[in-house]
Amino acid sequence: MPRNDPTDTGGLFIGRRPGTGPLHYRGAPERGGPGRRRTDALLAAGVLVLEVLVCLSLWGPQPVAWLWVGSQVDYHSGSVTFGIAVAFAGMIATLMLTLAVATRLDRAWRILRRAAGYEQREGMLVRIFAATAVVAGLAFLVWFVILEGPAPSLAPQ
Amino acid sequence: MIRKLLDYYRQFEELSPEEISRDLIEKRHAERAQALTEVQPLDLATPAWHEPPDAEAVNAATYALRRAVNAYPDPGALHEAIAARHGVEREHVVAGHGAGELLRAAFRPLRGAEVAVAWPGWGYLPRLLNEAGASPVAVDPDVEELVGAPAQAVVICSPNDPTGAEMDVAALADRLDPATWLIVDAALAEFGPPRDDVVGRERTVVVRSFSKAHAMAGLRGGYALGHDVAALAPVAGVSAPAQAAMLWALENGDAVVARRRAAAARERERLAAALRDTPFSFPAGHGPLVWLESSEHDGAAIAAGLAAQRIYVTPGGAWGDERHVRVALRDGAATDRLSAALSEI
Repeated sequence: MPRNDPTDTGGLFIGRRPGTGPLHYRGAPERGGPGRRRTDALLAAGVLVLEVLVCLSLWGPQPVAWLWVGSQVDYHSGSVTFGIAVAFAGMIATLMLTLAVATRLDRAWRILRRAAGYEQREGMLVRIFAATAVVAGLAFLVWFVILEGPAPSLAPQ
Repeated sequence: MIRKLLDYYRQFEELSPEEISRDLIEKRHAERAQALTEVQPLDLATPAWHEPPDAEAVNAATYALRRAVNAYPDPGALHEAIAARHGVEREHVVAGHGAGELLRAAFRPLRGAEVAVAWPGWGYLPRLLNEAGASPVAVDPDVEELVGAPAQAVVICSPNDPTGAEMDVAALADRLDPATWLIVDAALAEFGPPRDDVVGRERTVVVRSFSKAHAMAGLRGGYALGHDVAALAPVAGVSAPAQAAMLWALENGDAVVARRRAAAARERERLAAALRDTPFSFPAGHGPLVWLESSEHDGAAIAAGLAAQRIYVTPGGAWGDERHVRVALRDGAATDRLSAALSEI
């Protein structure tokens, strides 16, 4: 169904639905040849993979790294509270930094997709962020409940 | 090289909503700025009431439209209401498509007759009489003149369009030869004082309209009173929405009509007061129509002077009168603008 089909909205919108207008460019873009478009499509796929990896890093490597840093702070300062505070502040800081990087990557992905010949309106960041959060959550549950959690108490002594 | 590459990809960046809207916003700002300096046209030429009809009248018409419009409408209830309002037999009333169509039908028996038309009067009268095969003769709107005219029919417009003057219709009906037809265009009757109906007289037709005081010109509704008016009925009647709106107006519209009558009278008084000690004047009368003249300018000059200030009136030339213009009064703001514009001529 076309994005501007009024029956899609129950007839509530006589014209086009909000947010479904055509993309407005500064001028009429001149796309490259088929080879260049294929290259742009490959580059876009690479950027998307990078975006996924960056988002995944939020749910595993970064917290683990900051917990290690926190433990080192605790060891050297003798203060557990200070170690936890450093780890928490570090996680928040790199979360913000990662999101800023991911946003730029997402913008680059949209532009590459358009250069590849697709009418790409929206980015993928929100979906990737949500999907990686779900995947990381499930992985944590498997690790916590099955691999590391109750296993020693259930296992034969 | 890198710059060229970046430029290639930059052309695929979308404009922000603010950038997309910038042109539209600038255009709107320019329109608003212009609206403050632009003088809007003021149409004082149309004799139809300047406001929409009462919302309930529109509701009644809409309700009728959504019911059985596949069936021919039954005018029974409307005819009953008209008869009750005027205290006449139901056989002596008929609804039609506006006063104009009813007058056209009423003129049909006058083929070959000489007809005295009180003049100035409603602008369509001579044309409709000619169309019916009658010979219209302009006579001053005066009872003596009309009674004395050698004619087989007398047609008057009271209150008068364009002058607003009220004629003593009862006196005219009493004094006319019983064999003479009397046809009264009473489209502006709601603006005039209450008067005796002359429907009891044979060979008399009084035509009323819903286009003026009821503000329903677009619905084309009216009715005729008199003996043997059944022949004036439109074939298969008046549309159901028009009938419903007319019925509502007859049963519930008195308060609205009284308000419009008071508004028209108030604007007449305000304009008369504003034109005191100026070359402009107009005769006393009723309703929103004013027959304006000047001791210094002819009608064409008045109309042109007002048109230059984007106020449009009807030159008296339409009635064969070069001295006057017809002005259809609206609200207080329009009267103020008109009087200010007249002072500039």
